[in-house]
Amino acid sequence: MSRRRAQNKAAARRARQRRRQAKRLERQTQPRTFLHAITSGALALPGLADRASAESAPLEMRADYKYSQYSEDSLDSGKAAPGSERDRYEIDIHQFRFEAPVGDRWGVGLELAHETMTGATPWYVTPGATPADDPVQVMTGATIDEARTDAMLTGTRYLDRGTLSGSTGVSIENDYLAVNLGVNGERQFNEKNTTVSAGIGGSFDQIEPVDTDLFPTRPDKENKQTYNLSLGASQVLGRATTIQSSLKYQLSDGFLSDPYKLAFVANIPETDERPDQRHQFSWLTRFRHHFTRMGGTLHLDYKLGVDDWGINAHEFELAWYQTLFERIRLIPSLRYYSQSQADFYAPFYVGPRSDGYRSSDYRLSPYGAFAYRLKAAARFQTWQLLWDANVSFERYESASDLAIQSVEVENPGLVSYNLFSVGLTARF
Amino acid sequence: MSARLQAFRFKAMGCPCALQLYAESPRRARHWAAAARGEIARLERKYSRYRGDSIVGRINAGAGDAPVRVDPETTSLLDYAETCFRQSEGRFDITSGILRRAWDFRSERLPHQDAIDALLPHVGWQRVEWCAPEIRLPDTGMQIDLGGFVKEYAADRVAQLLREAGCQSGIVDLGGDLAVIGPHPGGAPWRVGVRDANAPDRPAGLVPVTSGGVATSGDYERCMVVDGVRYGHVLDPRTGWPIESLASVTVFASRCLIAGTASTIALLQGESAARWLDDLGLPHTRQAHGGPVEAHLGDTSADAA
Repeated sequence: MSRRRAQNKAAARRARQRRRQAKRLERQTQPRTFLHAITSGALALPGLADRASAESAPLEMRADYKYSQYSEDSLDSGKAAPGSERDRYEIDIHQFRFEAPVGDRWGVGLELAHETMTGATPWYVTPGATPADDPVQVMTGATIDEARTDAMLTGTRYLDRGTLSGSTGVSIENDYLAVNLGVNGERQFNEKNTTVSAGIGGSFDQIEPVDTDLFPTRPDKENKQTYNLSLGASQVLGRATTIQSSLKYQLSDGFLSDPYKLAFVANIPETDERPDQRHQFSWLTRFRHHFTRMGGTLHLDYKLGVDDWGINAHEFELAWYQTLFERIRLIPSLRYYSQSQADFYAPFYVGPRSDGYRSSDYRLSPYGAFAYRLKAAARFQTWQLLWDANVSFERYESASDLAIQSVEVENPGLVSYNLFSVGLTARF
Repeated sequence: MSARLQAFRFKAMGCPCALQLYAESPRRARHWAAAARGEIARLERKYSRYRGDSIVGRINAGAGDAPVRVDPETTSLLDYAETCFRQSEGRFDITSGILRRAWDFRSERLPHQDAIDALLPHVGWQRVEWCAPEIRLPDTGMQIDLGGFVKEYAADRVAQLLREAGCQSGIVDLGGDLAVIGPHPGGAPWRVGVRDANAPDRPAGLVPVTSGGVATSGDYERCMVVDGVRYGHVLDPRTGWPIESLASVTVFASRCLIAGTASTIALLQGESAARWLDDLGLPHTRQAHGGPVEAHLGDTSADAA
């Protein structure tokens, strides 16, 4: 009997030690994220998301800030015309986004972006000094600060099995004003395993080129309209795999030329002249697979673009999302892009084309590009807020010999850049 | 169009259950009740850990052996269990049931630490090889038990099933875990009694509920006192020892399953349970050992959303 008591005493002492250990294990489960996670977990169970519970509106307010520094490589001396400016664009971008629920069926979002640009841009291309030399790029004089401000307002209605959202925005530069409108809808079927989405949008842009007194060939005022339609579907294939596919059609109508660029025709710089309509189709397919054992997700994307100017583009992207210690994510990614040239593009023209079109813009030239990116994101909690911080760096290089097809003459204005971003998200 | 309230009482999942349904005709109410009982029986057969032919029985029988393939419903339940495990930092663990072998509360004796130490290596969802649709318990000593939330899940399923069958007013009660089908005709709330752990026979108060679910987790029924220290039956799967926590927690949420998970995990928070519940922000009542029932129902409508 007394032995039993001694045993019990020893056991009680061990129990006290155990309780102390339990205290050390006592890290708080975070209730806010907890509720969000188990609610979405519960609603994913068969028959638990009923008609009475709408697509859950955002439970929380969210604010994002992102700063990006975009910096184009200077032009190689071999590609710049003698005496031409060689430093290219440096852009500082500040983006701010705010989302909030309004009642339990509506959400509103506001996005603001402000960019400041300095540097020079490609102006026109001239043939090399001798026929054996490559053509060279003449740059504009270095701009002093240009700036762009964008604002966009979005309203989202959360419906029983989907969402409906409308957005409107403006984009303002000293020589440019654009207003855009859009409506998007999404509907889920078969226990949320299938999602179908559709969108329609338009943008109405007006350009009033600067320095028309110095360059009389520049138009005083022009405008263009862009309309787009998109249709998409995504399907969950098993617990760890999703595939998405979407088609987009865009019609641009109006002044589609670049008032600041010239094309060299029979040794005379002439205005950039492009058709006043453009039909573009793109088809994007995304594949995601989660590898439970490795705690990582593979993203594979392919985008095909076709337009009636003759540009066919292919883009492949491969990314790996690796979660470490449950709160850090590392995302290395690789992107490859290749396009053919617009029918009327040439680095320079020996004589005028019969249709009158001409452009030596490097963006219409045949080229390929590689981009390498590394992004790191961390999640932490402080002051009752949930924070996500991320930082990323991307290197982009484009050249004509990276294109799928072989290119005879490279446009000397092709761009390579570094893009550095830091971002912070707070949810409260 | 006058619907009459009809009650059906029966035993299922090891506890007394009740359905209260408003129906235009007794025949219709009986038809709904039969459908509800069929669904409860299906889930009981499928997830009972006492039946060798249940999916849980098959997973446990396959421990240490080849992976077992499971159907989509079980997949989402196991995913849910994984979410709860992660979100509770390992406190909510469907592999912890085997710890009960070491704890005999009728014996009034603490288990030997060796007995607990022998079981702990076989506890821990993080060791389970769960890669949908296949699950494998890595060693023969491991077992899973979905008893921690199948009852709440069943209550939600039945409420949803009856709503789809056309029932607009009613409540499903599976052993005290409630799921509201819809308020009384005319919109009046159901009045849910919250039990007082010190006097379990009479409700401490009534809370009006028009939608969602209610679930209670308690630590006052089975316990033992050794050398003046109380040992309850809520075990921390990470240590194998009981957690000193609240006597009882009742949570009101948009689903019975969410209410049940939240109340269970609240108890597993130990001494921080009260603060954790305050931060969680769901309407609830709680009671410390020997204390009164405290109501934290937010706005008094207590329409748990």
